[in-house]
Amino acid sequence: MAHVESGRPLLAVTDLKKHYPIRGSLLKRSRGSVRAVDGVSFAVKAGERFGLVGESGCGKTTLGRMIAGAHSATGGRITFEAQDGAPIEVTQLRGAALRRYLAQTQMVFQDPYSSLNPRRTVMQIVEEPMICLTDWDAERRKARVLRLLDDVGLDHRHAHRYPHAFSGGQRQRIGIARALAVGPRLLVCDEAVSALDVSIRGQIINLLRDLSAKLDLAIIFVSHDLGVVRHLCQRIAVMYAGRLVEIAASARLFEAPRHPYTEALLSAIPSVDPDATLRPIILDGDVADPGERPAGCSFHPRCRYAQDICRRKDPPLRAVGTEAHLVACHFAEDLHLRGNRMR
Amino acid sequence: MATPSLRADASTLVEVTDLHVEFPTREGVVHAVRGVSFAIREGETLGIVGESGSGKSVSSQAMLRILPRPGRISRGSIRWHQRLPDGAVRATEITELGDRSSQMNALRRREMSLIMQEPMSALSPVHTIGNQIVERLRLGGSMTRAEARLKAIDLMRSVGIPNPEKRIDAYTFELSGGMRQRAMIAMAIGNAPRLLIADEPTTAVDVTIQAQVIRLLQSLQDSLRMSILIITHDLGVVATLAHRIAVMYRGEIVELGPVRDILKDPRHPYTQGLLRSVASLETSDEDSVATIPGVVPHPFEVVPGCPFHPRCSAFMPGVCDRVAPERTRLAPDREVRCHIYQSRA
Repeated sequence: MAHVESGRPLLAVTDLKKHYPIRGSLLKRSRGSVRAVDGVSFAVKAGERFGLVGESGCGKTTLGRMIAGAHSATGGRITFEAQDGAPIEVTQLRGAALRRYLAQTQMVFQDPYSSLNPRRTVMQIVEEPMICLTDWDAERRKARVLRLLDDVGLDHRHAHRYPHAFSGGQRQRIGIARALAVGPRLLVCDEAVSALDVSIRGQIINLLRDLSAKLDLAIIFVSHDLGVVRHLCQRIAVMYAGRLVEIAASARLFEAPRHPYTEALLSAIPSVDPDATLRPIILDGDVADPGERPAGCSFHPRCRYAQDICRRKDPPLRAVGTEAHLVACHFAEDLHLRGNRMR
Repeated sequence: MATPSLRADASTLVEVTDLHVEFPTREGVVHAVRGVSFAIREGETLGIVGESGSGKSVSSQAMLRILPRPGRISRGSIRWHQRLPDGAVRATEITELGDRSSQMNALRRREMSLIMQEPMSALSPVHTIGNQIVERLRLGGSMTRAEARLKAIDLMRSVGIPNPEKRIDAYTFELSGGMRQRAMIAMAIGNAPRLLIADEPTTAVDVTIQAQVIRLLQSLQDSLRMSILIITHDLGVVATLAHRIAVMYRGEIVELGPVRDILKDPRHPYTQGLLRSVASLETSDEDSVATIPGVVPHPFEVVPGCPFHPRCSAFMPGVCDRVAPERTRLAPDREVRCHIYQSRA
């Protein structure tokens, strides 16, 4: 598999927007818009595991789906480095060009029960993307299904069973095999382990990590679970109300967060250590409504450090300390925030 | 039948002994709960932890007598200790009551309450929040509609719903997930129940909202002096909220004891594996996550001996796959169901 030159990203997202109009019932007039994704920029290198965390409604799923080619954009660009080095403009793709892109970017879904067709065998399910997106003949496709099942830790003798015969964790393995079928270079995983039991979750995380290393596969892992993301991803982006508020290397984000929202998120993870002394920072109120975003910094109504400027001016995402640590907060340099050190 | 009892331990609110619940289906009988015993004391929080299909929710549904069809209690006892106004304690055997009997209805109205995982499906979409809370309050006694409305506003304020005078006339779809969960809690505590059963109360909400709900439950317990039974798969939630934990696997309690003792020194190989995998998610970010190998067996599958033996790291051939382990008491307040400790005893 061809390596992208070092430094050049596999995927670059620039000022990406997705706005949904809110229509009033009267004459279907537009009454403003829900800014699900509102000016997001980041880049992912080949083979890199990138985490996207945030609470429900923050736009992380929409963003993931836009990257996977399932949603169109209202504005901005998604640029993908094709295998021959030529950039693909994902937001413009239609028809055959879109299918060529989909052969390089695949998705793994949250619910392993509803994302597999119960009336098709594992063989048919995993073979399907190859039928749609490649010109491989049946013999090659079938051989590849069996190898993929081995790769994801399933017994290939079970290829002719139906999904109901498998447990949740095994079904998620089928979903991963299907996503890998056409040999993608980027996998978008949307809450891929959230529906699984605790004892199974680790198995799937380890599998994704091993596959990423073995296949030089980049992963964008969308999740609300910071612990899982920390374990799997090298870098993490925190999303709030349609925008990225902080991007940093995983260890750095956990140990020295620079955005008050990240601090609160980290403190809210309940620990199983009965000696853990950290008290959670309880945020008042709810996640900002992307249809009615507050003026200034979207997070200011819940922020315990908010000053006057936060109510007036929207802070841009900028490098703080190092080039690799981006924060959207007026006071990123001044605040001494509490991290979640290794316990 | 309610039978007065003087021998009951005054501090025990409910005592579940050797409870069995089964679901006879066309394909076979699913034994969802197999011989579960635990007690909940007054003012304490007991956490039942387990993975999907472990029987944790079914156990609480049996206590409330709201088992989904065709589920039935096939054996065992659930003794409810009701404190009478004169201070005496009356024991009621819940397994002997009809699902819809007036005694069971009275228990559900005044003594036990339930909050569920998904408030959107537990609340009515066509009634206002206020109407639903008022309805629940008026079931309890002789309140007029106007009194109940005032009380509902008070309750909504006490669970942290801002601007309750206005929100009382809102419909569920007009509230956020966190607010809906609060509305459901307001409804559940309206009649000052002695036991609040919370079935995965934070699973469907975000982490920052989860922290709010946990703190709310803690402060309500302090002010109302009620007992809480919290059912969850999240060991972190239990560690924060519960006094004691029961760990369930395949319909059995495999380990039971004070929360601190179990988290610090788990004895059952399943508890040890669970904690290892959660702790490795919490701590290291370099190594692979510790896991428990294998899968939870299908409900119809009959596993001879200990139900955990196919996944167990301490499996002893000829013992664990043949004989079901008995409960072993490790300390006055601690027990485990595993052959390792049985052979030592």
